[in-house]
Amino acid sequence: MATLLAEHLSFRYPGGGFGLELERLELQSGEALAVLGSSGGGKTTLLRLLTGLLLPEAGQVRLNGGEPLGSLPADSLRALRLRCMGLVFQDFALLDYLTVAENLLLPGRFLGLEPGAAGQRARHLAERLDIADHWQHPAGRLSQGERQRVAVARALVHEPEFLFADEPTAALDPDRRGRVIDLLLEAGSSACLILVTHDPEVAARCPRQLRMEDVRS
Amino acid sequence: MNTPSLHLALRYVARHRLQTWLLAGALALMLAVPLSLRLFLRAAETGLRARAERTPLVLGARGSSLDLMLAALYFKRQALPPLGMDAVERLRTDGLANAIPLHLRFHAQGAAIVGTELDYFGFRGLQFIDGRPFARLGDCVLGAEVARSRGLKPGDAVFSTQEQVFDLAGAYPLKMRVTGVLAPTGTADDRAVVVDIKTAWLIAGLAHGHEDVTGNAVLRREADTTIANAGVRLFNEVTADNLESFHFHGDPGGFPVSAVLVQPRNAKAEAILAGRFLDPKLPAQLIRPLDEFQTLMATLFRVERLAFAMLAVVAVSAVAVAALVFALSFRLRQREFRTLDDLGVARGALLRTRLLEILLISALGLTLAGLLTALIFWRADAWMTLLLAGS
Repeated sequence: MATLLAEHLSFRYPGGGFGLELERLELQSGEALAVLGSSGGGKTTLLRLLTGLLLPEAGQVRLNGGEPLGSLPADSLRALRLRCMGLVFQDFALLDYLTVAENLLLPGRFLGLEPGAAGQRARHLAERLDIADHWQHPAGRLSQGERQRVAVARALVHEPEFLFADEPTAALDPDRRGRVIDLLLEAGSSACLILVTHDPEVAARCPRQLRMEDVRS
Repeated sequence: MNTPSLHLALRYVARHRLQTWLLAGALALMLAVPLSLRLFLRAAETGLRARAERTPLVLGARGSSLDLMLAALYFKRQALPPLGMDAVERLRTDGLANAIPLHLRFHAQGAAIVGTELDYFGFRGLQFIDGRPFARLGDCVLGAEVARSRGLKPGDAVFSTQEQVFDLAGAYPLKMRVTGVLAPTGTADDRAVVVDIKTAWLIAGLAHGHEDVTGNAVLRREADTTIANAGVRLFNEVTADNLESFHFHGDPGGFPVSAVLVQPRNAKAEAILAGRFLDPKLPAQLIRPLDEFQTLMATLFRVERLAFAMLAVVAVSAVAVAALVFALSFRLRQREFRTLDDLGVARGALLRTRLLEILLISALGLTLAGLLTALIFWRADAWMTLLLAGS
């Protein structure tokens, strides 16, 4: 069972920018947490702290009871992120010169996953997210909504224990928004899901919610 | 080798073809130019030296010895002052050497017309792949490249090129019958039209054939000359029917010869001949083609060294520019590498991806350079011959 534990987190941007103070956050497999707040409210910063992309000034984040992310060597932290985490970035972070298929299989390639099985799962996700028609199209030629769905599918292909999604529905119409959330929650049934959004409707689909007003200092 | 890194590098290179080919092309040129220059000169030297070595001496009018060598061996278009045919006869009479005259003034369809004698084929070791040597006035034998590029074969005809369009009294194009095609040799002979020296004189207007001059066609008669009116038809082709009508005017001993290939009987004969033409006041000079060739190559190698020095500067600049292009490209793609970093791809794999991209483009550049160099090496002899033959 996957667990995420963040304790006594404290972070402040250099130059006296805003900061975060989070006393405790614990999440287990099957739990979904929506992080709510207005734009520029620190949601992404919190997500980056929880994934080890930013290191806190104080406090710690532990995955599955292991070493705090901040104390892991850089290469081990990267390997952990690649193996255990599925990340949906706000700006999608696709490689434009790769096709949709190649983007979806990219983390799996670096993880050394068996291409057949990973390919099947990627294809299945592409069909569910309505992007299978673009399977061999370069990501650079897709619309914003299509790119966002590719980013979501990429995060799910290797079936990670921890799912972090930053505004995964911002560029989608209501119908597709619903499908993406359904898929994330479905994947989250066996993983820890943290979903950053400013959309109350999306947040309402998650059993647990965290308001940035409560953690911002 | 890390396969995902190679995959990423391959995909990037394949998707950015213009950038890849430009960079690879620049690298290829940077490598191929100096390498090709060196190979070209070495290969050309080997091929051309062999011809110079097989030509012991050349006799020609005094003037530039290099021009004489280039004209006599490689048929370079040169306006050489002529010798008289009696110079050839004198060499033969002395019994010191074999002498093969060359007349090198005219062209046919861009190829040099080499007026000579049948001995020339044996001297150069030329073989026929089709037909036979010339047998009568107006016949010609084609070099392999002339026949191939113009699609000519024995039985076809070739016209000599008119030298002066506006000179009504000048030499007119002669329609020559092709009697044979030479086997390729990789030398200047491949690009020549070989004729009997009398045919060359015929083209020069020193001989002609025409209808019988009788009746009203005769304007007046002098000692051994008949002046006819313009109504008498001159033949521009030698046929079995009109062959008998062709005749020469003037003293054959004074007929022009551009150069004479001289084969001394022995070393003593060579020394005697060399001594005979030492006097710079004599109208003729005797040169050793190999000496002239070595002088030419020494000059070329000096030029090559200078070119290398300049190319080295260019190469350093090109490497610096290529490095800058790669650095800028990676800088522009910082977001892409940060994405891979955020996803958890190891630093080593990211570094390998960058290195593999550089390697792939460099390998493409090397391959292009190799192909270019091989092409130049393959054609070096022919191109050098063409270069030397150019006017």
